[in-house]
Amino acid sequence: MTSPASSSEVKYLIESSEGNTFDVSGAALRQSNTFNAMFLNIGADGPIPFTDYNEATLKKVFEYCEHSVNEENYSGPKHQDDLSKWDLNFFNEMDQKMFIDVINASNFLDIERLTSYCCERIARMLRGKNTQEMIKVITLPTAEELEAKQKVEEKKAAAAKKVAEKAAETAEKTETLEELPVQQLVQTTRNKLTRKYLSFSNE
Amino acid sequence: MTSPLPLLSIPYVPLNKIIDFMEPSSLVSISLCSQKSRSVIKTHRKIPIDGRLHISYNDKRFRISFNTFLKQFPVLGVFNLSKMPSSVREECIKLNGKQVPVRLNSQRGFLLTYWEEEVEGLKTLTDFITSLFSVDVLEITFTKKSIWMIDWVNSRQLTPIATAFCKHGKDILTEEEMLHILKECPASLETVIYPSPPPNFQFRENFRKIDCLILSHGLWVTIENLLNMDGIEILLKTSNLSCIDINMLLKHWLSGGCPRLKYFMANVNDEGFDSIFTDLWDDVVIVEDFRQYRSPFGCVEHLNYGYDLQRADGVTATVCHQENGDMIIVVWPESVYEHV
Repeated sequence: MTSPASSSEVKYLIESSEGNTFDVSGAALRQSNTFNAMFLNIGADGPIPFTDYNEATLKKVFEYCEHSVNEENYSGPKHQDDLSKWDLNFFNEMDQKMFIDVINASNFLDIERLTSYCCERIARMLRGKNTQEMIKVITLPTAEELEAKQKVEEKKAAAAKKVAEKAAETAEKTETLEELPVQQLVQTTRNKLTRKYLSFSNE
Repeated sequence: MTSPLPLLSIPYVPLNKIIDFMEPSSLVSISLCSQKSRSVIKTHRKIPIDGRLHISYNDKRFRISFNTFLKQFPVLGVFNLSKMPSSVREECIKLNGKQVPVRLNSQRGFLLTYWEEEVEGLKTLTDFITSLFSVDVLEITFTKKSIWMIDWVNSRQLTPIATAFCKHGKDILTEEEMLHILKECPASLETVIYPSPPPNFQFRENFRKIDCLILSHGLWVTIENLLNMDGIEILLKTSNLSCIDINMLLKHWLSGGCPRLKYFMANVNDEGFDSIFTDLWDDVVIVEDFRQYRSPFGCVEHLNYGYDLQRADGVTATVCHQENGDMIIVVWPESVYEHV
């Protein structure tokens, strides 16, 4: 099914987090330094498990690899105007979540060209945004949210303190109880039981 | 921008790349979001910012930007609160415990901030930027009203200012202000003064070493001043220099004075052009070919003719008197200058 042969005709099976498998050419896979280090010389007996990444993400990553098989060695990201129509379409089709997923997968697979292009595109997306827009886009808590969070934390801490104090008090009482002489302890327990019995029989 | 972009949860290697690709104005916007984002930017930015930190004032607003030789990349504007347009909905950022209204300059994509005391705002934001990018202020643009910027920048850092630009040609500086700029503003690279000096202003001290000096009102500059200057490029848009003064300057240069001089321009209102080459006519070669001189500070001079003079070490200077009275001296070859 898979072989370490260097021919670009060779196909490898890739397994995604859903357990699905799909074909990728050896030439495309060889753009991944991680693949080169792990499988190129020894081959793979079954599907190569990249199970931290979903099928859509992996397919997107290898779609790029298949397309750029014949491109020159990577030497830094191109200017926006120098990107091919295919490249532009490829990046424009992705939403921000997909960008993050592709960056994560591409970073793991060590595909420098794709990682750099995605990073450059994200830097581009963040141009001309004010601080509030940045907070929304990069999902940071706002100052108000941070304040509210801090208040909640303070309340929680205060409540925890109260609970701790109560626990300490109870522990003190228990200790006092434990310190009572055995006779007195038996008497106290009897009294309680009697009261309980009496109240029950009165009903 | 439909889905969120959890930037700070991206692994370090791509996060570093994104931060390095980001423009200074975006980095400033992000770093003002929270302490965490600020420390992430400060720690992960590996590539130095392209440009020198520039602080400018034009009597209406302060601006903080990064300047390269040819371009300006503004990162923050500082305005008085009274100038905040009511029609625009502003947001607030928290800085040093203060709520600061901000809005975006939509054309150039950088933040405008509004302060009750804009000088306090400028100082706070300058500290913020210098700390964020680990840089010092290298360029200042000021007016008569904000000459205090020289002392402030000098006191906040050890690195000397590289470029000082005094704006507003209509202003008239006092003697004290003029001397303050010439003596206390240690701009090693470029000093540009547009306002006029007071009447009868004189500068009797030696000029410090300076690469480029541009004076809009240079009537006070004497030949003694010129002979003492160690500059690469000197431009006097008006001057009281005579052709005999230029003759003295040429003789000084021929004997090894002003060794770094590459470009000199002064408006000389003197009809006695012949006296420029007194005692030098035997060494003068008239050249009628078109030549172009590209100054290392951005000026391009087209010379349709000129008088060449050669120094003992073989270096050639060309003297050209333009129709508008500008006397130009260029020294070949054009210098290569390392601009940031």
